[in-house]
Amino acid sequence: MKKIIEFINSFQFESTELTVSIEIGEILIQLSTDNEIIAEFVKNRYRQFLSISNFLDYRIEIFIAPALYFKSPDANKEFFNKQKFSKDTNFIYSNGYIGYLNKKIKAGKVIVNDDIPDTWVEHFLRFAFSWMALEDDCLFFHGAGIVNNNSGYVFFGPSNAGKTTVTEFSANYSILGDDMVMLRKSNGKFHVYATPFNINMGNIKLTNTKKRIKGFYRLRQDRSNYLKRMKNSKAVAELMSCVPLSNNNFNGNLKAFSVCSEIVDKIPCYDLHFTRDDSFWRLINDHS
Amino acid sequence: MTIVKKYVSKSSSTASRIIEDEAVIVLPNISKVTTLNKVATRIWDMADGSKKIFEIINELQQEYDAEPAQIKNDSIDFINKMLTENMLIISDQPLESTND
Repeated sequence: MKKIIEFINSFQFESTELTVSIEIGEILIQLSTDNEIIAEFVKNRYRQFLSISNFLDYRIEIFIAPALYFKSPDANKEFFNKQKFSKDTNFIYSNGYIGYLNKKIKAGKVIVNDDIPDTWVEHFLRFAFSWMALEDDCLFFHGAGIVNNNSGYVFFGPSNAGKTTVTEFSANYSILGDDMVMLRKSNGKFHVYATPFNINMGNIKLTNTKKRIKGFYRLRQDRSNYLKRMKNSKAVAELMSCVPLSNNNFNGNLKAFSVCSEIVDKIPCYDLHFTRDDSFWRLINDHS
Repeated sequence: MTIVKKYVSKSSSTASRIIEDEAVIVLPNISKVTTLNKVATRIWDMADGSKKIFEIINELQQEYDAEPAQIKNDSIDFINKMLTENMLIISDQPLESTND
């Protein structure tokens, strides 16, 4: 790993450095690059999360390298992300980028392939935030966040469970995300925070805010609507399955277990069987 | 020595909590999460390295109404499965108590 870190560190900015700070779930990072396309992408893609605060958690430098450094995935090969951990360093790589984060110096670097650099930056940031969240005792969570009556509702499940679907049928509500949200305890209460890492928001406007969580709903597409309270043991396992965990991140995974256990102690988790319309909200509102 | 005469304990590579009489076990090294039913949770709870497997089975046979042979077979099957998944470990000697 040392040689790879040396390779990554051999990249240096060749022209004026452009910096953008973004804050997601109270984690503030500064992104630096000398590539105008990347800088514009970051400013535009994360425009609702731009920050001017000086209390940075991490500084991350982004470089673009010619495609010869990586083999981009072809259409038939699945994209992969991998992480390896040493004492203070999380080494993150895929078939489109290679980078690291060091928690001791609160800094990182990533080199992305020049074929679809914006996509690789987003992939790297998803993994980076997943790790930084666990380091900060909160969870980067595979779920949709929706605000109803000033409370946060988290709908979760694996890909294709219906997160984007329930978001589409919640057009009259504030949306915190249709794929990834941040869960964090604040003043003793768990809150859901918006993230920009979404799948298909279409014309739905994202609202960058946080709300106290009223309930968790494991999505189950069905031919009728009904709610069933989950046993807490099952709820912990279901929540854990929606936290992007990494093999070998022993301490991080233990933290995730601890946070999920605390969540089910405080907040009800349900199996939500729902039809493809907005009628599930009546069920939830009647139940609240 | 047959397996029932061995001591059984939780692997140090697991973390677990018993929530409403059901254990949730995590293997952080491979990001695996497992939940156990009530009987399996009793076995998990008793697997502290101080009891031989037959002693655990004896206790279960006193606690539950099912056929003793069924309890024995199911318990050994469960323990073997947990050994395969590296969640439990067995030893010839009891684990030293950490409370001494």
